[in-house]
Amino acid sequence: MSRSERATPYLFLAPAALALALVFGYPILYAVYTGLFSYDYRELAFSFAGLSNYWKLLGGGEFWGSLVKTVVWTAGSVALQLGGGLVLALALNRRFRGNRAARALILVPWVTPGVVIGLNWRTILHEQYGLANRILGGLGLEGVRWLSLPSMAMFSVVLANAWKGIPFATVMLLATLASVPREQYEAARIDGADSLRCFAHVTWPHLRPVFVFLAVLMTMWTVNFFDLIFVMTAGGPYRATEILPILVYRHAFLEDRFGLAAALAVLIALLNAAFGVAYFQTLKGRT
Amino acid sequence: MPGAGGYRWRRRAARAGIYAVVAAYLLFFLGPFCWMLSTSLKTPEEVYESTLYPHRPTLANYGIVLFGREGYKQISFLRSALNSLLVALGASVLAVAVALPAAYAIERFPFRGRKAASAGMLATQVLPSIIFIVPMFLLFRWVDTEVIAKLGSDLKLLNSLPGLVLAYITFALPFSIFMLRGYLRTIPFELEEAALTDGCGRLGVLVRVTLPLAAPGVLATFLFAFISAWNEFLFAFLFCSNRPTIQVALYNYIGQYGVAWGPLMAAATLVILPVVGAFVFLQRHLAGGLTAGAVKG
Repeated sequence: MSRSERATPYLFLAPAALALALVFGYPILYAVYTGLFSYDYRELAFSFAGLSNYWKLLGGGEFWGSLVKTVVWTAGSVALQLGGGLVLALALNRRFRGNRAARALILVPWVTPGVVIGLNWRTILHEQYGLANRILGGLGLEGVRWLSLPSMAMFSVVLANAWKGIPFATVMLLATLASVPREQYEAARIDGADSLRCFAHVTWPHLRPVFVFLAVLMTMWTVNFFDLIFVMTAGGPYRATEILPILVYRHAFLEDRFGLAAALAVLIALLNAAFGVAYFQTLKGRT
Repeated sequence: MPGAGGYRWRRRAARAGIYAVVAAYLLFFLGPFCWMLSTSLKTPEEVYESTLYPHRPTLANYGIVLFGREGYKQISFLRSALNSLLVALGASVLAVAVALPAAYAIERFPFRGRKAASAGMLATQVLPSIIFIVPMFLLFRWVDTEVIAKLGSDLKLLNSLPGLVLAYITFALPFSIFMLRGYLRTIPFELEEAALTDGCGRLGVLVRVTLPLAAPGVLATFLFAFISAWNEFLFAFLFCSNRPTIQVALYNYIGQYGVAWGPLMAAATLVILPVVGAFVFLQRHLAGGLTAGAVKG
């Protein structure tokens, strides 16, 4: 290989690397830096605070409360999305009338913007004029305070997020199901395996890597997903749905505590990274 | 061993189960869309009665959104749609143009640092966009007040569309590289090798051989980046409130219209119309490319 040939890949990568360094690397470093300062917005003044922002976060109840809400929101959403996606993918992976149309339509909620989803579900779950309570009323049941009752609000936002995420899981799993060789099913049938065994011994081993990959990816997306909750409840009622990104927003833009907000953002990134590494390590250990 | 009749019965039960699952999901999935469309066609009285469907369907709500209402000042919906279009076009063109050579390099060259580059792309998915919000906001404000103002230029990063394009590169670029890699992998290397031995340079190969072959993938990536930028809310809301994108305008309508759901849902319908159109058109390419990138990471 000539010298110019060796330089080519770096030349091809240079624009992307430069852009990523500018809009990616620099802000991250700046966030770490800002997190070490106490920030007074009114005077536009920094004063060095060391790790005190972190101690403030880790020592106070607000961070831990928000972390618990984030875990509930994420675990609930991802479980529903993957579970629903798996059931639906298995159902759609057969020939039946309308199969093609169903597949083509299915991803639409996933590309619907968070603001529209949040707005739409807000009206569906509206106490007085909403569709959900109207249906319950028609069945002779009492209406539910979906969004104004702290104990219901988390359930409501998770439901809306499941609506958005199930399609993505379904399509990814469907694509994987299509790659399972037909002969393996036929062989299993000849050996007398029933549907459940077929799933456990033929389908699942093929699905598992994608399933795990999806679980990691969707977990990160869900932890970081701001729009839906912001539009539906803005973190309320009484902070019942105030997940970590919403807490960052409050600290930074409602309370003008930029240092604290930056420290919190760094903590979220670290938590996400730790989760990702742990997940891939266990994955490596098992295969 | 079940007899032939038992077997047939079980098959029928399984089929009924499948239809039940699909029907239940279709109800759950289509219900909200139907509600949105139906509400957008209702009169205010029908909204208060929360009728299931409009008894006297009207397009008045769409008129209110598009052309405003007398004695009712509002940010123009069409103006914000134009803002969104410009930002989304700028961000997606820029992202794909920069991502294509990068994806090609990662996919085709056995160079030092290749693994690190590909792991770095994946790592970008870990970071919450909120982590960029605070430092970028401070950075943009600093550039506006300290650098650009001193140069005497009118250009700004906060409350400007170019600034928003720059912010959108954070998510559009890594994802574009990720998707394009998946497509490039499906193109046989032999064709490029033939062109190389014929004396075509690497850039020439990329432009003349790879690009035409990868055109559907490039188009799908471009459309995906476009849709993500069109749908983006958080950056636009915090960085560019003076020149609202369509998502920000929609969010502002929530406060403005209150329970006047007719216009609200008409606006929401108009917001997703281009997304759904573009998406249905490219659905096949998109699903294929995503999985190609995902399975091998």
